Amino acid sequence: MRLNRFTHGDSGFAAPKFVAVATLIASAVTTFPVAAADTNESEDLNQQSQALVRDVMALKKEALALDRDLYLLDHQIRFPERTRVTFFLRLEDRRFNAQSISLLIDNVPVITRNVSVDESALLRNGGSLRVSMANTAPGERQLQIAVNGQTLNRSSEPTEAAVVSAEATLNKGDAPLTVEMALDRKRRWIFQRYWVVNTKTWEER
Amino acid sequence: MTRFNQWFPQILLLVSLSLSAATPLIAQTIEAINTENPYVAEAWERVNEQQYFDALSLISVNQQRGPRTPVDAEDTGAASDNDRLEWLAAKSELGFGLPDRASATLEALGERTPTTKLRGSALMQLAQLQFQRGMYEASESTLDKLEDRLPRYKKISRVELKARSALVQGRYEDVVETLGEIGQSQLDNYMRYNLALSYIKTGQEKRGISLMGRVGQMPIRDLQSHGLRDRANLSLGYYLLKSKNGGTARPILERIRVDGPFSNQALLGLGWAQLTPEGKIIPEIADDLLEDEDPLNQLNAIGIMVRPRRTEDLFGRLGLRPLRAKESERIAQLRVNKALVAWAELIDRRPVDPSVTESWLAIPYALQKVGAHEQALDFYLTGIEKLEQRREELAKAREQLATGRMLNTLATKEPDSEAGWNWQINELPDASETYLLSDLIATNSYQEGVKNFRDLRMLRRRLDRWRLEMDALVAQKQSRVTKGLNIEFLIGETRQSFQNPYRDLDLELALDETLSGRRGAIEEDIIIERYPKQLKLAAVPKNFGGELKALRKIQPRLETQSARLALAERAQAQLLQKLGDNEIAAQDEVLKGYLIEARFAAARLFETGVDR
Repeated sequence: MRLNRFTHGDSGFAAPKFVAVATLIASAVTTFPVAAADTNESEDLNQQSQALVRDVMALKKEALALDRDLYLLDHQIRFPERTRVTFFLRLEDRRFNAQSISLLIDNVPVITRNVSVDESALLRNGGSLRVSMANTAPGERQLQIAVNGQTLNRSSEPTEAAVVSAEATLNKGDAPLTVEMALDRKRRWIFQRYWVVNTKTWEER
Repeated sequence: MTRFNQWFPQILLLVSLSLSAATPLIAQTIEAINTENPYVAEAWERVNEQQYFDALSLISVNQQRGPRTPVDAEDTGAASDNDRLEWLAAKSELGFGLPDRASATLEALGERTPTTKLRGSALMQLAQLQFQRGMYEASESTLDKLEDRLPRYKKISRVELKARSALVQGRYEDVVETLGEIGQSQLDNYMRYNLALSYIKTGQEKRGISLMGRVGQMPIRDLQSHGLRDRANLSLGYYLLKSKNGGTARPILERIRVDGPFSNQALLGLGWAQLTPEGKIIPEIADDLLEDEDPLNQLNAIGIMVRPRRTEDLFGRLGLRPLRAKESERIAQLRVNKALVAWAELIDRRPVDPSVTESWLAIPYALQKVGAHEQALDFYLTGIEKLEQRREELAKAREQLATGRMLNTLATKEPDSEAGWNWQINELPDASETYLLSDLIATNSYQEGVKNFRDLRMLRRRLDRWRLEMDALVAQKQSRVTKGLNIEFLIGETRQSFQNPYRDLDLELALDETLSGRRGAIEEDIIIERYPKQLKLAAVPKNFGGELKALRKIQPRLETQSARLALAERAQAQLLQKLGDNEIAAQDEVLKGYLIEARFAAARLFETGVDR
């Protein structure tokens, strides 16, 4: 078969231009649509997808409620309400880079933990860090806290090691107690107690 | 693949825009919450770190236990923290893919909170959410609830959202009217794009073309603005092409980047623009085109490709033999050459893009136009080969897809991340099926499916951890109960270790019958006064079942939920696989169509050649 005897011009050719132009114009409106699969099947798939989205949302809500109940039960067992104390730490001194925290109640160590780089950054940005939860019997307790870290210069580079510590008296009642230990800019400690108020209002709302 | 991975985040960004509307993604960061309450601050930190499930769990626990307030705080402080927690809850619900719940929370917050700033933010967020969920009328009515005294940036956001809502409903007159409320100088380029589109749709073509032309020439500040600029040029270029103004469309399309998310469509369009009639001069953009920087001088624009010297050796570049053409067709041939320059660049690009596939047939079509039938036939045959090869690849990809490898790889990146609906697939696994399905993966619906799959998996893993914790607690409690029940052992142990501290003292106990005054001798109120009650009954325990009972009660719930999550995970995986399967089938259908066209054209060439 010889193919080199073609004349010029495009008469008699089934040019694929209509395919090209059709897709060309379509592309101006959206991305290129591919040939749709069977419409009914596509509709079924769409309905199936929507039903699944609804199921997943319902499951997420249930999982959330279950997670909350598990969290509450776990805390109720490990830290009963009557003895529970939660400690938060907040640093107003942005030049202090916390590295580890020690907490003692009546000279008994409650926790000694390192402060991760992320947690330290969080504290320097004014965040509040949950240090620990502990059990302590109601009554007057002596609290001792020590935070080891570094003092930072203006370029946020560490200049010297620093330890800030404090002692305070803690009056623990029968209700769970939250204590926020804040270190102000002059590195003075401020102890703020929080308590639960008006639980019923929340349940009713 | 490497090149595609480079553009994938941009494609995602632009897919999320939709051509006519710039839909914003869920806000990635939230405004700082000024609070001293550590519980609110803790929740805020979780939201900021996109740990939405954790944040929701914390907020939910706090709500169950009641809000905390400083011992010496006033009552108003508690209410404010309450609202802040609700606001954070709404943000987390949104981030974790619970839009209906977020909507309810925001609605309640918008109605209740007296704080104007928080109320404004809540209503704005609600309106955006309603818009994203396709509830356009509700979204507009929420926007109407916003006070007129808004900060300037919020006022602009309100107008912009209202305009987008009208745009997606096809109410172009309303778009023009709404965006007209704010001055031209305050419109950002997305709004200008939308306004230009609306002008064109409402018959104000001159204004629309002029404005779209300006968006297409905006200064490039970042990846996003470059994408919008390309998109505006592509839209305008194709609009002009459709209205048979090839001469004006060409320089517009030449402004688009050679290597970008729209480059393939632009190259294809540029080729067709060479073969489309020149059309009339459009004065609205003619001046702009004169003032425009020479696209040929922009090294990263498509214009650089049609420089004269590049067209000279075109047939050499395509590997064709010298072409003999009639003198009378020289001019037409020159234009075809230019079209071929654009398409020649396209043929070796990512074949998944339909523009590339189309170029396989467009080139022989153009060659036919100039009478290079033999070369056209060569290209048709090569095209047929490539199309068949692609169909084989699709069949293999279908088999691979069934193994679930792609989905697992996609979902196992940052498996414990709780970024929920903010999570995006930014990098694709190196697998053939991913390569073919990249456009599908970039769509919102598929991404949401993958996100849900990941969320379900994350929840199941979390519940698995809880199960271990609960099992340990049950074991601990059980051992205590067992010990406690062994009474004889305990008595024996106590007897052995007991030492009477009073054993050396000679003590006698006597019954005192006159602990209180004799009955009747003293008045009762005097007794109460003298002997106030020192002892009182303890409160009745809330639950006699004890902790072990509570643990045993929650364990089956944990099992059931875990099983349901696993089922939903499987169903989601099957659905995603089905979507992938359908996409491959659809691509195959398109290829089949192209293949028929190519075979038919090649057969006609053979036939005509034999006849003559």
